[in-house]
Amino acid sequence: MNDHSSRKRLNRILNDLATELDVPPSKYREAREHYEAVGAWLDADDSALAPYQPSIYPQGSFALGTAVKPLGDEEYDVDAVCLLQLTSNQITQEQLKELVGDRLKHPSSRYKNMIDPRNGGRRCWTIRYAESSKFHLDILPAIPDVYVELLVPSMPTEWAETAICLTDRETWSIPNAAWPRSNPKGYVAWFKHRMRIRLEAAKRARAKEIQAQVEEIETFAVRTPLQQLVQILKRDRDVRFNDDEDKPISIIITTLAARAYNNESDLVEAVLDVVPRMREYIENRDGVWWVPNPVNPMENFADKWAEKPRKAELFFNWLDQIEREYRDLLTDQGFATVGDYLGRTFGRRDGDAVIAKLFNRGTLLGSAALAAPAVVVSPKSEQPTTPIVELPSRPSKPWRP
Amino acid sequence: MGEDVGDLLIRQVEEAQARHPNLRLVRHPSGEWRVRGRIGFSMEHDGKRIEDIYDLDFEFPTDYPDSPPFVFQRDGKIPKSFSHFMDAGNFCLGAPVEVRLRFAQHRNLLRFIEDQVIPYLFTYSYKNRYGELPFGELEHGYEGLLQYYKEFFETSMIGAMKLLKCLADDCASPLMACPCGSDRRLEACHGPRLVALESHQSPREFERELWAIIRRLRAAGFRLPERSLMPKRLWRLQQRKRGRNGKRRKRGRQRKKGKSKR
Repeated sequence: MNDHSSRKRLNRILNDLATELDVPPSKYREAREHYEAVGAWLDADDSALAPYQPSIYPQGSFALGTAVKPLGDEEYDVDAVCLLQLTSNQITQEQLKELVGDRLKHPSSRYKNMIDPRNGGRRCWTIRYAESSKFHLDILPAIPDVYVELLVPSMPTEWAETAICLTDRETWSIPNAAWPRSNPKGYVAWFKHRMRIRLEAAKRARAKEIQAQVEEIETFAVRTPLQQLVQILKRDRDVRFNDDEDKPISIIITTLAARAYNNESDLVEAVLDVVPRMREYIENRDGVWWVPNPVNPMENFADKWAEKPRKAELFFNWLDQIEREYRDLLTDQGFATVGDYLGRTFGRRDGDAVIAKLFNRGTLLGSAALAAPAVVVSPKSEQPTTPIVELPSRPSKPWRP
Repeated sequence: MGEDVGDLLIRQVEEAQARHPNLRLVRHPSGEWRVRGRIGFSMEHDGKRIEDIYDLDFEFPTDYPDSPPFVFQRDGKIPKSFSHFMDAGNFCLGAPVEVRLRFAQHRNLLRFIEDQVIPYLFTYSYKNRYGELPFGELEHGYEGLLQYYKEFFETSMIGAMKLLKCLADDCASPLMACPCGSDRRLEACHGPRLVALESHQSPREFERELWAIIRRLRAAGFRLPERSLMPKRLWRLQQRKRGRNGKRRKRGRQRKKGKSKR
């Protein structure tokens, strides 16, 4: 098979895979309803927070459109920032955390029994929804970071206005502890900027498909090759590293993929071109690995690699491995084992679903290449052997009905 | 088919490849799992060693590994005249319950291949070379099945059928007199053999086999004590059918009478 058609073939499979991993739009809507309801409760007229104009917005994979369906019994993990209009002169980290917590645990709050753990996490309050919805919502109390431009002069102004300060229970008791800085909204804006061309194109295509106006298409209803690539890499990581605590973290994967992304128009291009370039964006500053936060160049997402060099080692090996594996899938011989590969890399459930889809599609297209059975375990040799087999002590007598 | 059948098959095929490296596991468009490839062996019987290779296709039932795979040939090496095939064309490795019984000891593909499939292939290779079957065969049709049960239970024909009836009726007290005609209680006589068989086929399947055997023997002119051999459910059905037909006939006649009065 020539290069063009084998790319097309692989692209189709990777697209099916990404669709399989993707979180359905209904879950995005559900997530939005959940955090908006929390926002409304925090901002209600009788709320102690009302004077500080609390606002709530999503961050993390749900905001980036890179969330993947949880594996097994795991839950959807939705992150949202709860921003209060206060400054670090007016309130301490601990007070801010308690202020939000008290409102959530207010006797008339519907969330009062849903907070788990009761005393909150290191930075956030977690709301657990009914078992059936498989959701938990992490609320991060935060205030605007008004000094960031002074403290981090290298920060581009366009991102500076969305910078925030968070609370951190582990360090807030240290005298004069600085507030942890973050900028999730700026990060989302940066990520969207990296894929803006494809996002627009995807929206236009979807609008045409369902005969609607481009403006009516919600961002979470479409996926760009960059988002799909991040989803595939994240699931690959989850399955391959399982519970290894040194496994690559999502923010590093997302940042490097987005940096290396050049608006490749399809997923197979993204996988084959972006993955090999990802390592170029890991900087070595005087022997220290750096994956700087694009919206806050002072923050190193890879700061833990210095304490645990194994994290860096795993990450580099992983990049090598996936690069090799995807190259292999382009060859006919490698493609013959695609079922095997998908199952192993993405878990049986999603791998099998993709293979099933592939076959349905293959039959529909009448394409011989795709209707053929997928080899899940390939033969170890083309030649059979004739091993010595002992006759059973009491062999069955053949019968016929 | 359970979630993890794929994983199980991957493990079992990789294990089988150690001895039969040409095997491969494929997934069909419909979602069916198949193992195919050429299987070779070198096997000895009565001082005669035979080496041979066959190209096979294993089809996995939806409840694998509760049930054994079906085995088909891909090279047509064994002619139809060998006749030990099921209707679908798969190998008839032995009496159905025995195939399941043997498979259930390990529920493993390699063991199945070497314990049941290769001896079957050997049977054909041997017959092809020496003109006779190396370890005999069961008679054709349901007599053959009865022969299997007779050999398994080591009883008379009637005894084997009565024991089969226990399996079909699915209610035998361990304290009842053993149907084989010995003076012992079932638990001390054929009970353990019934237990060995009962989990490998449903009562309905035993019932079907027993019923086929009875009809076969009837057709061959045997006079059987049917009341004590027929599966209980079928006996009742037969009685009810007779009874109902009788009543209907009567009612029909009465109605006719009424009509004629007018």
